[in-house]
Amino acid sequence: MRDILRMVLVLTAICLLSAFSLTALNEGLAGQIAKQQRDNVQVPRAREVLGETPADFAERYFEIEVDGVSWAVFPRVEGGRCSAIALESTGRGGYAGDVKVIAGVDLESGAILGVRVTQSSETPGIGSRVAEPSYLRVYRGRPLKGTAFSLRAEGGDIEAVSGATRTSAAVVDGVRRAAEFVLAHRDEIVRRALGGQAGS
Amino acid sequence: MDLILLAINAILVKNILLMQYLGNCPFLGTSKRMETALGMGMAVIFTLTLATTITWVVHRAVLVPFKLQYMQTIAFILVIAALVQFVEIFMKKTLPALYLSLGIFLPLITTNCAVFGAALLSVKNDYDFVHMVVFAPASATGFALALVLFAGLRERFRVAHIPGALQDTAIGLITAGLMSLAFLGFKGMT
Amino acid sequence: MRIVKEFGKGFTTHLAPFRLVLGLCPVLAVTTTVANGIGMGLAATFVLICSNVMVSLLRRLIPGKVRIACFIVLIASFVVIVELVMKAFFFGLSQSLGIFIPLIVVNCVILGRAEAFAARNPVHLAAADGLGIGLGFTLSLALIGAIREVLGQGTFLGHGVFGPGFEPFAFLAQAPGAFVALGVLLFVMNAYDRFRSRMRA
Repeated sequence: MRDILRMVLVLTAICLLSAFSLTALNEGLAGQIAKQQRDNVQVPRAREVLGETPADFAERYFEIEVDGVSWAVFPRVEGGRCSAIALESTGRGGYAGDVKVIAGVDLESGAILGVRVTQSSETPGIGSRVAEPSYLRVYRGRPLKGTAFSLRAEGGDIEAVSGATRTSAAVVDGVRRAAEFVLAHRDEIVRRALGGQAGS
Repeated sequence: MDLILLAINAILVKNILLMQYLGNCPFLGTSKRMETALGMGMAVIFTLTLATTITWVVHRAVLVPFKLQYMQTIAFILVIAALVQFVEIFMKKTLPALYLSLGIFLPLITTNCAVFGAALLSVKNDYDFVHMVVFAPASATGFALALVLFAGLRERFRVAHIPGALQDTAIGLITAGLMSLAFLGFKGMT
Repeated sequence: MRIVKEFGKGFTTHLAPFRLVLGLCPVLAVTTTVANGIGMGLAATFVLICSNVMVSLLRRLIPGKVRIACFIVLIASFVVIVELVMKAFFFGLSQSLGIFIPLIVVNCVILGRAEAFAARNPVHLAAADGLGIGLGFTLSLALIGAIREVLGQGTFLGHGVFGPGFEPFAFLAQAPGAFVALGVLLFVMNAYDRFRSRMRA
């Protein structure tokens, strides 16, 4: 009996010590890890959709929370004006999970500048063709207000990649959510962008 | 349809052992004879499927809601170690013949990179339940397939004339390389 | 000195993965370039040293029946530390090494040394053992990485070696090449050993 007690105690003690140290370390490094993730994944994609970006682009990132959902926004601020933003959005309904996209929106013309896929676990081959810039060009120039963001097959304006309907639908869903968010919160976005604070 | 593609992908194109490099230790160790290879293959299919399923559930039900993703490594390996323990105890009671024939290979499955790797991959690829349930046994079958094929080849080595320095592991690795090359040909399928 | 001996064996009799035929999975997967090989090797060395030291410190406290479970928790903890630090400061490397960082947990070398050596020896020797075997492992990874990178991609640590006219053996950069490269290296080492013992006799 004493043996079993000792075994349980030692194992529990080790587990607790480990859990405690790791949680502490994770807390300490979480900010740095998130920043690395942003700088290496989201920021390059955001730069791709926005074209020219100023040198401090990465530092201007902020988050807006709406209805418990956090939106990552990368504004392009030049000469005191926020001319465009890149926004990360999650599209639901993909084959094997959600698809994350970054949509670039021109705030002055109210049109989409470009779309890129940042995270998807779709079928390699056909499914991944949805992430190719040559396909994603179908979003360029689409006005936020006038476009029906759904697939042609469902009466909308966007063509799907043939053979990857569900994946294309997930991307459209992501872009649609981004468009709706921008239309609904445009002023808040511009205010935060010009506020000049890094982070949220 | 896409599930069938996923399965074929996991068994052949991205064979977990020959293309993804997972599970090599037992691969070289248990493939000298066909019986051990078959036994190990079966055991891996069973434990890998169960382990991947349980860790997937742990990930979705515990780690994500509580934002504990960084504990993934520890949680998963503990699940696998505990699972193998239970499987051992269970097998000893209900299938003693199989338990004896597997011998030491059963506890070794705990450190099998293929099992842990498959669990990690199914989470990394963000599969939903249905995809995961297809992916796991398919990957394990790929492992077993490679293992059995390899054992078949190695049994031939016993009667072939191989220079001393090449024997055993060295020729094993080179043969595995050639098998891997053959499997590379499957890439054209997708 | 005993400590030097324990350290040195990691480069000779206990050289992983050639003499100590363990821990093969990462060897084949990450040695596409020298940088990846060294990165993985150093990460594994860190875990090995920490786990050896921890196991050695606690060796009289851990009851026999649960020792493997305890070792696994300790090793896994250090691996998570490495994971977090890498994601925070070496993002590129953590992306290249991918799932093979958490897979360090099941690297048989680390569990093997904990069980075979650290659990029965004092801390300073366990640390030397860890450092020696870890660095030996790193060197092996660097060597295989060098062969696969130089011949398979024509670069070394990212810098071109042969000039633009070189047609790399793409075969080596992929899965089959990894197996074959390792097999051939092992063959060369075995042949050398046999040659030496024949010379002695």
